[in-house]
Amino acid sequence: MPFTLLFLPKGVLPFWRTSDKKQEAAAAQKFTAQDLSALKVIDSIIVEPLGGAHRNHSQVFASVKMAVKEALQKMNNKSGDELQNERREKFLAMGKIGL
Amino acid sequence: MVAPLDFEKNIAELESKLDGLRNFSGGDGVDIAKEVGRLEKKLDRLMHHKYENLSPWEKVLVARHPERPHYLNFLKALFDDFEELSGDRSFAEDKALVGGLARFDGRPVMVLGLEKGHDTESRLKHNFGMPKPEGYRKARRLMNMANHFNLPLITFVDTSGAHPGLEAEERGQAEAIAGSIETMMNLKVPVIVVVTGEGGSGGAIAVAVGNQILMLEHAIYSVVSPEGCASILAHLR
Repeated sequence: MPFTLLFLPKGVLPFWRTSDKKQEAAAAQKFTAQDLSALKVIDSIIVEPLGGAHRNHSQVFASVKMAVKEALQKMNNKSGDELQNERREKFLAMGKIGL
Repeated sequence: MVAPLDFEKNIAELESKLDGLRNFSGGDGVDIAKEVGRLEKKLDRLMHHKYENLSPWEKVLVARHPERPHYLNFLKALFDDFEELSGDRSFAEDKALVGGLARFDGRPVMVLGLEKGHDTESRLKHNFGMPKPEGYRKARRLMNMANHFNLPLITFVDTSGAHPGLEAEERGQAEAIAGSIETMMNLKVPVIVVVTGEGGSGGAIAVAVGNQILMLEHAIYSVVSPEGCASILAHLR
């Protein structure tokens, strides 16, 4: 069964004494789109309008639509087995790159 | 009006100043236009600076912003002819996970996603975006259906995690999530995943095994929320 990865540098562990250390935890977890793109956990980042998605919904919808369309096109000519294998390889490779 | 986040205080101040100036229709319009232009430039600079250098914690706040578009907004804006399919055929219907057949760009697809809700009523209805086992079993049912009819699968991820309650464990939450991952891994159709807000742990990965995984710029995706992570590590000590 596949499993997700916990990105935690062991060195910082002793500094978490109370549960209000969430900001430090956030920094260590590497969960931003930019970090995950570098670690090849995700394939691409969809740019949001300046100031975040909540400031301009229609712009977000347009860019997500475009990104999904492109992603679909990339897989247009692939057979079912190819798609399955690629997905499998992609997940098996996670954690081997960039850490 | 969008409620400003903690780190947006100075941006919000500038915005309200600008609004005030724009609404002010005094006699000497030229001076006001100049001042508005100056403030707009300043605001733009400030926003660029702030949003290009968000700390991970600030990203969490943006990803959880109540006004952020949620899955149902995307569903309505991006898809046509949505036909919802409900129930897991064994226990119940779970509204935290909404899915069905639809057209994307004219092409029939299967779409499913995690919906958090936007006010108290809809949050309760969608269980704050935390699916129970029946939700994941419904997801599995729809995935198999997509496979059967050779339809591309598009999923949207926005959840703080799977429902952690007693009843969820009693009905086999872990098995439901694992089963969903397995089913998704073996699909022979294109699978596209969009992480729109929070991608929390197993609750997210159950519907995030895709050929192409896309993520919004300020979304987050991890095994555990920062609060959960800090609390687990603090207790371990």
